[in-house]
Amino acid sequence: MKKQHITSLESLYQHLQWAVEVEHFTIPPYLCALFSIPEQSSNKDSAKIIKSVVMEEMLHMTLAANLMNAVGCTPIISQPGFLPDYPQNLPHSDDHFIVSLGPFSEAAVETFLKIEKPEKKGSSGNAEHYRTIGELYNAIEEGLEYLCKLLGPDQVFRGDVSRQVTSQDYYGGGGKIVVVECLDSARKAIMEVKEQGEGFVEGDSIWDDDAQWGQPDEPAHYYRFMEIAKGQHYQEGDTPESGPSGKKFHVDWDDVYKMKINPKVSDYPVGSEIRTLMESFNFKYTKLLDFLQKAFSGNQDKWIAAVGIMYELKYDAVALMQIPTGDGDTVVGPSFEFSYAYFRSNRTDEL
Amino acid sequence: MTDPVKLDLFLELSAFITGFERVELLGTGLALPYLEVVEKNIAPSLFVETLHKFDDARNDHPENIGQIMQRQFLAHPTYGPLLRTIIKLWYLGQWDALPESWQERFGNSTPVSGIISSSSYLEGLVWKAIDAHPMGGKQPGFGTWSSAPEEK
Amino acid sequence: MKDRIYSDHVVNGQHYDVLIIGGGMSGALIANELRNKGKKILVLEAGLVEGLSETSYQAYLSRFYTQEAKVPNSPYPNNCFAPQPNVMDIEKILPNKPDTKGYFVQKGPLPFSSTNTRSLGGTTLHWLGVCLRMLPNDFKMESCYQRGVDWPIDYWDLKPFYEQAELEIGVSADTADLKYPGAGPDFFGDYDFPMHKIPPNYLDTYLAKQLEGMRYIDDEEEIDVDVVSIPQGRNSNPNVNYIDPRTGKPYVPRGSVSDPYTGQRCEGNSNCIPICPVQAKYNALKTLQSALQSKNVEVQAQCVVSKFEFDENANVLAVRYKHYVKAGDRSGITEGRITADTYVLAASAIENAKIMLASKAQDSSGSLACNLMDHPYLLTWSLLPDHIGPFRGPFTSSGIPSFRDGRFRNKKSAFRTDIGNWGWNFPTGAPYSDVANMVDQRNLFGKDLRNKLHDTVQRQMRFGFLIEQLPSKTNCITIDPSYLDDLGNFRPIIQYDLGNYEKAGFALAKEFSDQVYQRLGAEQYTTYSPSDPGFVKYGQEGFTFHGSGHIVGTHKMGNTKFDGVVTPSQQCFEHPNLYLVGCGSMPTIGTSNPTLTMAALALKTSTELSNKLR
Ligand SMILES: Cc1cc2nc3c(=O)[nH]c(=O)nc-3n(C[C@H](O)[C@H](O)[C@H](O)COP(=O)(O)OP(=O)(O)OC[C@H]3O[C@@H](n4cnc5c(N)ncnc54)[C@H](O)[C@@H]3O)c2cc1C
Ligand code: SF4
Repeated sequence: MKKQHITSLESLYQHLQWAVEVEHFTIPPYLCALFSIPEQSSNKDSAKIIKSVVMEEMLHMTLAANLMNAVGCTPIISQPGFLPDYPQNLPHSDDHFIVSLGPFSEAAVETFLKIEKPEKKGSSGNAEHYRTIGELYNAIEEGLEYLCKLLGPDQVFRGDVSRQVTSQDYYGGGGKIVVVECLDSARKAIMEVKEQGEGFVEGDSIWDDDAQWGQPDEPAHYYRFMEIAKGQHYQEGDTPESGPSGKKFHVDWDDVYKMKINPKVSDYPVGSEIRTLMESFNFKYTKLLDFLQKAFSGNQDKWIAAVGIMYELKYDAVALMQIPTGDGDTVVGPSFEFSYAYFRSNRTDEL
Repeated sequence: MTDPVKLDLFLELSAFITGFERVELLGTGLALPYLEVVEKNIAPSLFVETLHKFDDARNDHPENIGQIMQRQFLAHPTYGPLLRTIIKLWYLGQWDALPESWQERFGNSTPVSGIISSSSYLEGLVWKAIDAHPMGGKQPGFGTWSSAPEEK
Repeated sequence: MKDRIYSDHVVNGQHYDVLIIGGGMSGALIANELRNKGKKILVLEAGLVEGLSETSYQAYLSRFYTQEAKVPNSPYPNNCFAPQPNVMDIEKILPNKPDTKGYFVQKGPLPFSSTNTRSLGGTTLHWLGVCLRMLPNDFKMESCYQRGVDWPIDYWDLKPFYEQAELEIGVSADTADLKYPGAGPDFFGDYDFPMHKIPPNYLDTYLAKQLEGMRYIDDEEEIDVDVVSIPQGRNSNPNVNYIDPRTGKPYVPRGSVSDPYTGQRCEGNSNCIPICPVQAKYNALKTLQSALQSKNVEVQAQCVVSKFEFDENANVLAVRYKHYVKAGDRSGITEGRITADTYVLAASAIENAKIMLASKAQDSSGSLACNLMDHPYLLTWSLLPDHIGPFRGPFTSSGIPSFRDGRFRNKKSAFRTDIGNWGWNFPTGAPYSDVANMVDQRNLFGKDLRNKLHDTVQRQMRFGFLIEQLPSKTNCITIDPSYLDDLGNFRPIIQYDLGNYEKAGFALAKEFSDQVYQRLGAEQYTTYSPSDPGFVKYGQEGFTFHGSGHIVGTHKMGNTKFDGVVTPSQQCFEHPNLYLVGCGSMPTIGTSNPTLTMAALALKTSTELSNKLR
């Protein structure tokens, strides 16, 4: 008999919130690696791969939010505690590795492989201290099934459909947004996340299943990062055991903006130019979370502004990576810290 | 290797005449390339002299530096054309040829002109100054143009 | 797909079912529509195969970044074996002295300053993407206004093809917003577009508010002024109710040809002309890519067609062309000849006419290579009292269609008003020119410079007026062996002028513009100088016009071979196995940018060809 982890609605909400947190957690480290690759660089192939993964992580975060909205609760993302304090373990995991913010590097790719590690065949849900993200999603899926049986689907899927993010608003990257209204669509959404990335089942295949959306199939996230590690693409017929045998590409670990690992605003004196610039990045990042919060709370009109901020953040992050820290070796980078300044100037009335 | 003091002074001067912060200039990633462009185009001695004069002026008369820049630098027949060209370099990413007579006296024999590189175009300060993005790059994202300019 | 695109010369001496000359939008549409008919199709393209791969498209973009003059053809290198016009070559034309600076030989008296691109994908690489249908009265100018001519078909004949074209291009608009004079309730019927409208620019909303309730009044006219969004061939949020008839599924915006995830929405690069970096804007490479999915379709590039051979029944027997290995390398030139059952000439209006003249084609209508039209483009510009956030988003997102039709058309041109989103970029070269001016003339530096620039540019607005030009026999293209290009092909010689009808249109547009600026409390900076190449006098007034890139009317369709070069299906009356497709077939230009109509016509032609080829 399998252990049932999620047995109440409260526990379901809690775990869905964790899923949102986990999906978000991967984004800043991936973005730092991506932005540290110069536009005109020999690492173009790697940049493309990382970008495709980040885009899908954003999709996954949105799918997790759709799942939450479907069961009638709202993801909480614009709170100080939502933002990880890198270096940090994957939230709520079994803590077997630590993730940092830093430039594109061999070590970073190794960590990314750990984040996206496929789950063991036949592994079921593990809700408290999951080893792979897939285990968390399995637990959620099993919990949904259990609760639907226990309470009836209507008691579980109580959310307001108008809060779902649809393909009207969501675009870019592989995969497709799923509107979640029932157990079936919830399974679809979870499947989507698992097939593209985390929770992919080990040994099955290396490909995601985006062909179902009329898009090209790509290797699942783990295997995409493996391509970088090996400097070679997978091609049809390759298996996890065979490794990639497709086109080779160049990976140059030195052709990057050497961003300081885990930068913090507090590295620089209050009022200094660099600190001010980093703070302004964090201000915008916090604003982005605030806008996403609103978008996930039924204000879809905030999407446009949220997407606009995402673009700005990229330009600002790259600018930070042009500025020497002063240690003679590294450059400044974005720290993705919560901005209390934004909080104070915009949010007091709403909390 | 570029002399860090020279780079530093170049940045200070550039910040002053462009109206942008030093870190904003550094953030373009073009401080070094631009320093090279200036050095390729004009006699080294004149450039060093300009930097030092500027350094002296701001140290000696910090309270009055604006007026001094206007009268003793931008209105100066030798420094003026150079500084205006440097402003345009930062704003437009492009080296405008200096007047011929000036170039003959103070310039190098094989000046570089035109847009320096793709990134110099994309990082032109003019776009930041007008609260926009370079046409054809650094796109702001779908629908962002609907919002009122100030509330961005 | 790559296997069927050739740069090396491999097609010489072959026979095809359908030979299409020109890999622009017209040619691509026909190739795409016929791709599944089991017929062998070849697209012969004069330019290079560029743009389909990410690297080559990026090369266009890098070239654009580093060009000082960012004109429409700036990303697309000039190729002396398939030369193309460039607005930089436009000069004032002196009497009796043709201007030969650019590719076109300009006899004037006025310069023809519209351009086209000769590279795979054609002019859509740098088009703007405005996709307007013509209005019902545009098809019957003669019967309604005793001006110009009537078309042999009307709006209703084209309506289904307009819908098909809007799908292939991917047009964004909401019919509920679209209000045109003389359109009537059935203009769209219950139809809606595949994608919702492109969000309006802040300036559009600002003007809509300020101009609410405005009536234009002069001695003769009273016209209600409306700000209306413009349908565009660039990606926006899909309309969930629109089921794509090709797939039976909801419509999915089509992004870049080298990366489908890029360009699924217009990202506001503010660069539609000359190049959309993300390909959110439609270009013909997208249709070509779709056509090339079929094994029946091949593309041979670097082949410049010079003429047709005709048989005794006046059918085309073969096409003659030259292939080159590398632009400028004379040693790599080889001559070629291909035969086909059906020929489609889709090289754009001026080239089509030129090739027909070079082939000594028959023409009983006297209209071949005549009736060259454009929308002379008049600019006015001003500084608003408020900041409106220019240089964000597409070139234009709304316009004022109020003058597109009306009684006044019996005396003066109708026109369409574009609200420009890029400040004074078009009229003065802002913001570059503002920097030069403020630094060199106004002696600003430091924070003052930064603030002044911000305040000035933030208040810049401009209107563009697309003036309807009537067909005229004397606006024409000729050839002369003393004007050849580097490959030995004829250079088009253009004779071009405007009449009082168009000039009266300028005056009306300017008067309207003045009234708007007065209402807005804007400072007007519009100036027209007699030294401008496109300066024209009208009574006491003078105006400067530019080209719109709308090259129309050189092989007009008619009812019979005596009043047109082609049939309503664009079949050549006198050379029955030849179709001339493109804007050249349009008898009048109306006030809509012509390409949507051109695409609808090409789809009409495809339908006929499909039936014939069965
Ligand atoms: C700046 C600008 C903006 C525009 N904006 C708009 C707009 O917003 N809306 C609108 O409706 N229209 C617009 N247009 C017009 C639009 O671009 C054209 O109407 C359209 O692209 C014409 O398509 P075509 O296929 O007929 O010709 P083209 O696109 O010009 O294609 C012709 C093709 O034939 C090839 N070719 C030429 N000669 C030969 C030869 N001898 N042998 C073999 N091949 C040859 C060329 O290389 C080219 O690939 C704009 C034009 C310009 C210049
Ligand atoms: S505004 Fe930009 S993204 Fe949109 S179509 Fe124009 S160039 Fe492309």
